[in-house]
Amino acid sequence: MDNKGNREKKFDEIKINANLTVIIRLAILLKLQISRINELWNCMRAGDANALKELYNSFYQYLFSANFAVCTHREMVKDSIHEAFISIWVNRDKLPSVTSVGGYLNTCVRRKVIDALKKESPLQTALLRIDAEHEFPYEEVIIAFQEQEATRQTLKEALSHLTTKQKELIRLRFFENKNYEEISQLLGCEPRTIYNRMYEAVERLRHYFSVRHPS
Amino acid sequence: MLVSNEGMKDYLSYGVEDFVTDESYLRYYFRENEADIQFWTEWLGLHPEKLDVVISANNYIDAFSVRVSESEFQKEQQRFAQALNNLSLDDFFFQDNNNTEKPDIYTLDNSHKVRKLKRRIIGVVAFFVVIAGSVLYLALHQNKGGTLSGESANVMQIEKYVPKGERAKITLPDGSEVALNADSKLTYPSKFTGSSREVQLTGEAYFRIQNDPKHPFHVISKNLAITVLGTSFNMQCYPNKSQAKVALITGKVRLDRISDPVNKQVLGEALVLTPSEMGVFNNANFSLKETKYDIEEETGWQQGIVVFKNADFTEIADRFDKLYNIRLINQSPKTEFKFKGVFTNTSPEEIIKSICLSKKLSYATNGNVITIH
Repeated sequence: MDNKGNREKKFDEIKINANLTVIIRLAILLKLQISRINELWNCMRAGDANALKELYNSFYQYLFSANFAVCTHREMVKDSIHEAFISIWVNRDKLPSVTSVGGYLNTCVRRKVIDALKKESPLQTALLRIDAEHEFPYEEVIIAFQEQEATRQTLKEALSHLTTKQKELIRLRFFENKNYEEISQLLGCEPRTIYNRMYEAVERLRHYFSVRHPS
Repeated sequence: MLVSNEGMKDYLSYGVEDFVTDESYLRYYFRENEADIQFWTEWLGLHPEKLDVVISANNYIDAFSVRVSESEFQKEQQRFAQALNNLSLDDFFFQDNNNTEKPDIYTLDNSHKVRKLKRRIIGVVAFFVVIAGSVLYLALHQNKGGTLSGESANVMQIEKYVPKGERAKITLPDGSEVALNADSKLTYPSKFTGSSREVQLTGEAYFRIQNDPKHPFHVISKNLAITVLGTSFNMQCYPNKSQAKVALITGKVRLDRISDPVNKQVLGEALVLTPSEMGVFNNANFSLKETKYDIEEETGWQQGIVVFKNADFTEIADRFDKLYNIRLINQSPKTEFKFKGVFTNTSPEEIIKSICLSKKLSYATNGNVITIH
C-alpha cells in the first residue's frame, strides 16, 4: 500500500514538473511573464475586453501552429481560434482561474478544431480516428501549409536532402519557435554548435531553393 | 537585447544562411522584440542593396514556419474585434428583457426628458399589449376546448408590425431573438411545429437564432429564403427598395432565391455566407451577389446609429420617413447631392441641421414635415 502511494506521489510530481516546463516554455515563447498572462486571464474573466484582445494577440501564432499540426486546413484552424475566443468571452463569468492559460486556450481551440473536423467529414474523421493528441509529422505540416503547389514541390524536394537531425533542428527553431539557447539545452550541446549545424542545413538547402519574390 | 550590445556584426557581408540563422533577425521577422524590429527596419532602409538576399532569406523562413502572415493576422484581428463589438452591442440590446409580447421602443434621443416621456408611452403601450395578450390567450384556450383536430389547430400566426419611427424586440417561441426596425413586419407561429422553423419578414430585422440543427430556421421574404442553423444576422428587405440585403455576423446561412413566399420554388443557385459577408439580392435582375459590409451601416440601427454613405435626397428622405416618421421635402435648387455622415443617437433635427450646413441649405420644421430651402 505504502509503496503504491509513494509511486503515485512521484507520478504526480513528474506530472506537475512536466506542466511547469510547458508553462515556462510558453512564457518564453511569448516573451510574456507568467504572472502577466495570469493577470490578463483574470482581468478578462472580470470583463476586461482589452485583456482578452491582448491574450488573443499574444497567443494567436502559437495556437495557429499548434493546431495546424493537428488539422491542416488553414481556414478551419483560423475559424476555430476565432470561435474559441468568442465562446471564452461569452462564458467569461463561468471560467475558472487556471494555472496554464496557454494550455487552457489550446484545449479550447483543439476542441473547436475537432468539432469542425467531425462536422466537415464524419467519415474521414472516423477513418483517421482523430484524437486530440494526433499530430502530423513536421514535414507534412509545413508542406501542407504552403499554398502554392510549386513551393510545396520545392520544399519536399529540398527536405529530402536533409538528415533527420537537421530536420529536427529546423522543426525546433521554426515550428516550436525555440531559440538556440533553448535548443542547446534540450539537445545538450553548445549554442554555437546548434548555430553551425543550422547554418549547414540552410546551406544544403541553397541548391534547391531559388529566389522567390513574394507576390 | 543582447545582440544589439554584442558588438556590431558585419551584417553587410551576410548571406542568406546568415540571415536565416541570426536570432536577432528572426526576432525582427517574427515581430517578437521591439529593439530588434527597430534595428532591422532601420538597417534595411539604409542598405537596399541587401534586399535580394533578405527576400531570399525570408522565403526560407516562410517555408519552414507555420505562421499566418501579418496581413492575414490583421484580417483575423479585425474579424475578432468586429464579433466582440457586436456581442457587446447584443448584450446591451438584449438585456434582461423577457417579455415576449411587449414591444420595446428604443430611445433615439439622449435627452432625459424625451426618454422619460417615451418610457411613459411604453408603459401605456405595454398595458394595452398585456390586455390584448390576455384576450388572445383566452381566445386560444376557448379554441382549444372547441376544436379537437390535433395540435396544429392551436398554432396561430402572429403578425408583428412596428410602425414608422419605432423599433421593437421580439422573442420567438423557440427563444430566438429578433430586433425589428421601423416600418417592418414579422409573421411567426405561436408555436413551432414540424421539422423546420419558419418566419416571414418585410422590412428590416436583426436575428439571433437559437441553435437547433434538427429544426432549421427559415426567414422568408418576397424573393429570398434564408436557411440558418444557429447564428446572428441582419436582414433588410423593404418592399420599396431595389435591393434586399442579408449581413451575417456569426455562424452560417444559406440564401435561396424563391418564386414567391407561398410556393417557395427555388430559382437559381444558392449563396452561402460566412461571417462578415453580406448577400445582396437585386430585385430588377434577380441577381444574388456576395460583398463585404460595414457593421455600423448594417446593424447600427439597433443602437440608434444612422449611417449615410453618399446618400442622395431620396435615400435620406426614405430613411427619415421610416426611422422618425418625418416627411422631408426638397424645395431647394439643389436636387442632386450626395451626403456622407455617421450619427449616433442624434435627433432628426440635428441630422438635418448638419446636412443643411454641409450643403449650404436652410430648413423649416412644421409638425412632422421638414422642408429644405
